[in-house]
Amino acid sequence: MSSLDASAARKSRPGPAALVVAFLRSEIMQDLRRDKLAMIAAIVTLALVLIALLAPLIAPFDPYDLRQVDLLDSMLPPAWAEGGQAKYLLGTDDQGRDLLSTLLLGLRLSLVVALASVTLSMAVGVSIGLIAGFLRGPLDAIVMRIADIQLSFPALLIAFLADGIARAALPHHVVAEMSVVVIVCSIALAGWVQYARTIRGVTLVECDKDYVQAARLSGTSTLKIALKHVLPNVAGPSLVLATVQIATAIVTESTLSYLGVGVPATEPSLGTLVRIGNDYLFSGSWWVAVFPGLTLVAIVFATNLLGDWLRDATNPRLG
Amino acid sequence: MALSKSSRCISAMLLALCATALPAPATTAQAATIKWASQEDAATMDPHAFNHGMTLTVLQHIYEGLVRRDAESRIEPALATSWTNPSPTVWRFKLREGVTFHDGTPFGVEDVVFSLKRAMAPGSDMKVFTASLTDVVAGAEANTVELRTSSPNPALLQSLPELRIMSKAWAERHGATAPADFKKNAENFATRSANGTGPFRLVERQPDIRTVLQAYQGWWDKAPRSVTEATLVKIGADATRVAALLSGEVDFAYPVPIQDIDRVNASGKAKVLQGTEVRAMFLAMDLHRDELLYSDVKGRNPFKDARVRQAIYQVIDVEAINARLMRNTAKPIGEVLPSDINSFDNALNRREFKFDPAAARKLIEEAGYPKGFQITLDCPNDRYINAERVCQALAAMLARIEIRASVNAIPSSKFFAKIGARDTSLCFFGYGPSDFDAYNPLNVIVQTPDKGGAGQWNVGNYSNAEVDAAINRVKDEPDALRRQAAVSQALTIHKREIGHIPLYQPGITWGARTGVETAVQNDNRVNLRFFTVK
Repeated sequence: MSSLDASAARKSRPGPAALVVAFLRSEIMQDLRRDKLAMIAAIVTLALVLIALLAPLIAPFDPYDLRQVDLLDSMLPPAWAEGGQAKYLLGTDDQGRDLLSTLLLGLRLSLVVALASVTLSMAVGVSIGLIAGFLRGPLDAIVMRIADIQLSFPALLIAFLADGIARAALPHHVVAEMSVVVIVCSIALAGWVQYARTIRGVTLVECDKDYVQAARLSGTSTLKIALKHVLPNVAGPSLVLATVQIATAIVTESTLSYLGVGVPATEPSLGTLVRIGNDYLFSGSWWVAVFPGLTLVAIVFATNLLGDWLRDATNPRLG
Repeated sequence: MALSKSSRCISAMLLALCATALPAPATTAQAATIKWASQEDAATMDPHAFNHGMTLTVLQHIYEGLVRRDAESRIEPALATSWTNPSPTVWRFKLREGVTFHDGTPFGVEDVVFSLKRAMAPGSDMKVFTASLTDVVAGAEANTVELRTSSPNPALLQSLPELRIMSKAWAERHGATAPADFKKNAENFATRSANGTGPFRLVERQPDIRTVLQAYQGWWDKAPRSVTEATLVKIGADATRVAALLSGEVDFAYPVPIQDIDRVNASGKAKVLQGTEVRAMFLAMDLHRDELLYSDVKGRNPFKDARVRQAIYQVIDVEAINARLMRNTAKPIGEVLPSDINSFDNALNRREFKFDPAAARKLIEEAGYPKGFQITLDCPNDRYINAERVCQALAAMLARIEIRASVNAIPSSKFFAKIGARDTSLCFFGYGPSDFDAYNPLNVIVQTPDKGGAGQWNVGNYSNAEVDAAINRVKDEPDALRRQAAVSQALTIHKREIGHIPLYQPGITWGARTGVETAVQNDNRVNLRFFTVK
């Protein structure tokens, strides 16, 4: 590429507004607008993410501040039901926490854990996949056999195991403080294999292509080839994988919390709320389990649909 | 693929939404075979290894003592047919003839001597019941035993139902002559197998899964028994246990979670039998170490300051816990002893300080902790009604005086091993004197721990010489009035010093399907002997 072209490209760099317009007009967005289901999923996801981001601002109470919790307000039904109070729109749980606030912050926690664990497992998985695909040889064989072994276990089991070991190894007060980190690492540990496997495959294909051979001949270092030339070409599949994996990570996190090994009960995530509510579901106090359950269904369904659509949209064979 | 993935997620979510109800086979149980579900399992089959409610509940079916309790908790003859008290410190028991152990070996004097000495041996958790015993010997007459006590002990008979008799020959054959120390996780043959003289014999034992008891045909007592076989299953989850009862999967389930009492009664398929349990729930604080194990306060122990203890006492709203979490099935108390037990003045169960968060706030500031401190609250999560919820509520109440308690809710097997090893700074548990006598909890919970077995579960190491002296007088005092006075003296000091934070006596909620009848035992011990099954 000549320097003249580069400076021309710099001059015509669009402003932020133009970027948004360009993005909305892009092929992928047009594709999204044509797919009604995916569009709804995208709107739901966006709305839930926005709500989660703004949760501390819009939540009427701070459910993590135990000083605000009053046991005498426990198990109140939603505001519209008989016995409900206007200040607790969706009712309260067994400790007297406002369910709406707990739900909002729980959603935030679930999304943070999901995003963090997916990012971590993607970083680890992509690096390992690239290295294995590039170096091949014994390292490749060892890493891929480890991946094969791990693939034969359900991801939930791996996360459960990692979480259990961390809990047994660390003292309780450390686990209580670090529980989010522990759970993120556990889920990431369960998820890296997918990326490593996919990226290694793509890397093997890319490595044989002419542009890589050309770069090799021109004396470019392996690291530079991997990062500058191959990585951008394998980024697509890993992003698609990440979107699908977010839903899996949310489910894994809620399952762990539902089983009582996730985040501490004083800082409930959606799964914890379903677990608490489960005990009361048949006793007439349906709201504790139903609202967090529906939120979970909405977010998992929406991200899953979005992930599926993105995979199809970026698949050249399905044009 | 796209659809299947999404639908898989949805069904997973729906699964999470729906309670994890067990698959329910049709109720074809024969009248005499019952299945009962409990929140927890017996911890061991060794009759002397662990003084623990559920363990002793299961074991009372297999092993018997010299005397036993009837359906109204009164003492009646069992392996001994009669007894005399020839001198204040000597008790003579005439043993029952023709009794055989489940393996067919005859029961005799040597088994009683062996078993009672075993209960006094190192590793035994039953020392509270043998505290006054100095020796057990064969009597001068045939088939009699003599129990000797250090001092006159009017409550001796009350402890004897808990001192269960094993076969000496069986224990020797299997290398189980000494109890395996439960607190050290030790095991021996008697941990998983049993051979007693009781109404039921153990035919299958899978810890935490199922325990099968079968009526022993050679039992000496010919009183009619309705239950011929009973399978105990552990169902830890409340909702699942109730679902199992209502679907007919089990015939009897306890405890029924409080929020489900109305639903069970309204179902027409089962009913809830209720009572108040002879058990006190309380908080124990580490009063011994100079620095707490699980706290951010370094170099000093805040619990040693009486103002901190009073602040905790006054910030806990026991009435709110009773009203909201217990739906008024519990009874707030002011000591670590339940009401209506021998030698105990119920007036001592009036609470010493009233709920007053403002006063608590002032006290904690005066004590020098205006910003509070951090602490771990240890708590069993599969024992006692709503224990984990109570602990969370306690943590929320403590937060009002800036004490940041992180709730460590763990299975009771781990919990009791942990607090038994004094590996705790603050913990929530309860104790019920199964002999219905005040000396028992005083000795176990209040007395200074020593090598003689006192203070077994005084996990905060509360210690006061005056209290100890009074408790020793309780042990030795034959006169009922003076004995009660000594109990009151010990407890008045313990109460004033806030050695523990007393909370409440829990309610009993037993769920029985229609057709299963039993009297509620206020020690919360299910006794299949008293069941009638139609």
